[in-house]
Amino acid sequence: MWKSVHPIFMILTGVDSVADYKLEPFPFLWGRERYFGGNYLDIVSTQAIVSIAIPRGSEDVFSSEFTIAFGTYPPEPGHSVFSTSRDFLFLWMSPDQVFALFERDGLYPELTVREKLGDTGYITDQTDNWCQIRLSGPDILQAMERICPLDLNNFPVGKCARTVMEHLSTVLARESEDGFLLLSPSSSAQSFLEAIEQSFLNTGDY
Amino acid sequence: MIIEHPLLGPRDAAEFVYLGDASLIDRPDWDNPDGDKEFFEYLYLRDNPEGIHRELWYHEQGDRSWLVVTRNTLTHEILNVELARQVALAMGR
Repeated sequence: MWKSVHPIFMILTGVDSVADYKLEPFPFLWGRERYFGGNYLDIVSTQAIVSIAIPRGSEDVFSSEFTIAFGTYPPEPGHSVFSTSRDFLFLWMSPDQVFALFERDGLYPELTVREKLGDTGYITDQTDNWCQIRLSGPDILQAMERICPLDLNNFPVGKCARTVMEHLSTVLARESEDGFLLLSPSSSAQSFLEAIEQSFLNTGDY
Repeated sequence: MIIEHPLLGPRDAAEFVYLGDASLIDRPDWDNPDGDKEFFEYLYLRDNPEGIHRELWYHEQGDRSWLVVTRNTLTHEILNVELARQVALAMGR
């Protein structure tokens, strides 16, 4: 899990003192990567998730500033879009919210977005709140169909959706013909991983 | 049951939570002279129509939007789905 990364400085209380130490981030589901035949379940551990909420009445300003900052329009409902530089992947989450996913480059990823977008939207770091799993391989549709209520055969590359899988909230984005990125709340990360693993085991001879 | 979301297309009803009569959008002003009577009616008096009914549904396991779903309570046929936000704006809310 991503533990607090705020440095805890030396605390002096009377004649006693506590050593200066710093907590380091530790990703959810660390070390649980595995193959199911030719399919790979990867634990994404270096990708930041930053939420951008659009203030009511500022939709046009936001769209304009977003386009200037990232070289692309904000994602359409039910879709994802890359920035021109492909450093950022944006997921449409709701009529007034977008998730920005990018390689974490420091302790405060929200500042990376803030530098580009200014004060146009409400920006919060959500990295701690989600586990991220990337599935790739020829049989992943077969495994996901068992637990996903969406019609994945009609879910082309560039689509994203928030839904529920095995009773757990899930965001899924199709990254390639044989690749999906899945997000699920970190509080139930182990259960979510187990649901996916079990689905592979139930749909194939691995 | 499949609900045709205005933005996202057909989605399974299991992703939604039902709230009730869409008249809940029209919340009375507590400061009206008859505010207490209006609130009593708003909170406790509901029609229970046999047939066409406009209802509020929440896309909890989806994009978190509120929808106004027009449904036939006899057949469960869904006749229309609108974003509650747009319905409220059209009502001047």
